[in-house]
Amino acid sequence: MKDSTIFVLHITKTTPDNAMLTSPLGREHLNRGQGGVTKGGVALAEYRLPPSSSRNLAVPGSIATFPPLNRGSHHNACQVEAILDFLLIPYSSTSTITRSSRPSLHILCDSSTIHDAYGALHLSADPSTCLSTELRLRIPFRYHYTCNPPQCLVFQVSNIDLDECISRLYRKELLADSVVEAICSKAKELLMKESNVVHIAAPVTVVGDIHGQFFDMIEIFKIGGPCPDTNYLFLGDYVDRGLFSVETISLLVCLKLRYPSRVHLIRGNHESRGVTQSYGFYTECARKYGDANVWHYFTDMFDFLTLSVVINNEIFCVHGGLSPSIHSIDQIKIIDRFREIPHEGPMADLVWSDPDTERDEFSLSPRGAGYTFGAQVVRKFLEVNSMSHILRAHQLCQEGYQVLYDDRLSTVWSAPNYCYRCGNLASVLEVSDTGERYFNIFDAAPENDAHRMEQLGKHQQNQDGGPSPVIDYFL
Amino acid sequence: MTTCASVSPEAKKPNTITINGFRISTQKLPILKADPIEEMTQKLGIAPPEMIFGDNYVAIEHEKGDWGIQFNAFDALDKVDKTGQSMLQVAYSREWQKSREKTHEGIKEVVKPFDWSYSTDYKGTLHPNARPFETSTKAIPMELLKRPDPILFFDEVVLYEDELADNGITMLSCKIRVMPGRLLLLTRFFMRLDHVLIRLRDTRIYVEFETKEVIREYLSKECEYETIREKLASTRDDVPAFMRDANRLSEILPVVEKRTERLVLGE
Repeated sequence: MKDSTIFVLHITKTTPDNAMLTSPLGREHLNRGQGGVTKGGVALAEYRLPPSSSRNLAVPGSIATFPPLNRGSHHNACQVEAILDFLLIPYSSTSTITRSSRPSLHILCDSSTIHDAYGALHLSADPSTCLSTELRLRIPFRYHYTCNPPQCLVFQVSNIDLDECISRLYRKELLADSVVEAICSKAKELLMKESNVVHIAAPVTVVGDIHGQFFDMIEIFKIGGPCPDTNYLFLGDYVDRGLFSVETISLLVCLKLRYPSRVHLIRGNHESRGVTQSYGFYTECARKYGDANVWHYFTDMFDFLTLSVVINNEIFCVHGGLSPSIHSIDQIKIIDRFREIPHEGPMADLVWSDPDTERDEFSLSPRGAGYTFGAQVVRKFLEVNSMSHILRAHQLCQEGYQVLYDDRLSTVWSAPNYCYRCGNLASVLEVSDTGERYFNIFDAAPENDAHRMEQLGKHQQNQDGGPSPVIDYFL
Repeated sequence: MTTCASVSPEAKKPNTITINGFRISTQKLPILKADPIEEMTQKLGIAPPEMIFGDNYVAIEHEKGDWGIQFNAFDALDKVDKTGQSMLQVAYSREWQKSREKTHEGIKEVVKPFDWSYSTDYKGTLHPNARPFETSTKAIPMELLKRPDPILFFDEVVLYEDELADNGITMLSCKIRVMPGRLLLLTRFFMRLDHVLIRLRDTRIYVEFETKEVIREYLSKECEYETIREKLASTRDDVPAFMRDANRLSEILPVVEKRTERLVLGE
């Protein structure tokens, strides 16, 4: 088996009437109801999963039945939609629930495609143990149907080849909904093991905000070196604003899974449910996938991203900045980070705060929430933690980077021509094995214009080749 | 040691058209660099927005040099309240303040208060020789503007933009279109402070070339965020997308102020 493979349990088809095990509760709930009604319940099923050596084997039996409503009436446009949340419980020790990171499955199909409908149930435990053991599945579910739906689901164990996902994503192709679900689930497992302060060694290339500017991220791999030849540390804000947040974060997550020690991802303030609903990622997911499931997979995964990285015990890297609650990095280590980014407290400060060169200490933002930190704060933090430099992103700079406080703090910004209109440069910061810092500056990738116009459905170009505004009869 | 490679962004010339004695020009350049931002901060007395297009402008001038109007970021920002009197607070401010009180009572200094939503009622900068506008009731003739006349010149110019630290958006931008007989310039200030307020201030400049008539219309709309959200909740719209679309919001926001002024050149 290739080391780029991860295991996923697929629901590959639905077949009528061979339900093996459903709980009375589940069936009772299921049997009631009318077309177009949303219902819920719990189904229990017990499985003997095939041994880990066998792949792509159908799991015998089914786990849930949908209501036998309107039996006999077969409409061509019959449609069923079900959302199932799976919880895997090892059969042998029912007292301990395998942490499943609550994978949920969304199925939407109609009668013509019903046999192709599939979703992925990700096995969160170690596949080698999980696949060779008996499992009890507890399945809380909601479903919505408009006509006579299929009767049950059949599982199939399959795998996902990360290398294939990565090469698809380099070509800017979207991954299937089920694959995104699986990689997010895998990523959660991996990220969960990381400390709130991850220590890494140089050489490493540090990348600031990308904000869905997919082509510019590809440009980074061109100028900074391909993954995994170059080690990368990303400082957050992967999504929102740009047109290709889904492709950007999909690729980064796949790279992280494939090369966990060579790619590091820090959480930015945009890796949050709240912010992504306002700034485009939610809308992009819904537009590209037809529903918000993928947004849920990604934002659930964001809760697991680490908050900071230290390079060579010297350079402290974070998305936003410092917090008045944090003097020593040990205080970062005790933050409970597995949650939505809160509005206040040290976790919020780390992803939100900005330097202010006119002040020495912490100050309050005029907005009524959030801090700025001054020269003295930076000096003290570095001294207490025996470090020499703070490296952060979060703020747009026309030059692509900014160095403050006598070279004690750098801002690195990696989204050139931000929002496709700012005209700013971008940079990545290359930290050599001896800790020297070099800003590699770059401009927007040429692919942006062509694809942006394509995206907008326009093909206007003005004389200098740049994109011209969309002419409209505004009033 | 920190070193840096240098790249210079390409310079762009202003776009210009001259028609029936009127010269219309726009300039679009990248956001300001650190040094000009510092200079602007000193002059304004407040920190400029995150995305500051300090070199951009839209200008309409009468060739005789007796009249002209320009829209630029500096003059617009100069009209922002710098005292903090009309300062808004983000939705979770109270909660934030409360939680921090116990832990960091020592931190009291607020970075110089000012209206960080950068709300401006800027209606353009008039040419020094220009006569002032006179209050009028004559509206901009929308019917004439709805005709599909050929557009000889079109541009869209952003003057400034800020994400309000991810609490919404504030943006000042201009759109101009020039037809054979007339032109329309729309300068729009759009501000959405999430869970607090939505504000839209449009300044329209209409010029009829033949008669040398200039109409300036200022329309201010404003509504509490939750009121709009409730209104949208009953529709099938993608609410987050709607909340980003100033055009669509404009249709449902109530008017708080409307002013029409007029001027005929050469009178």
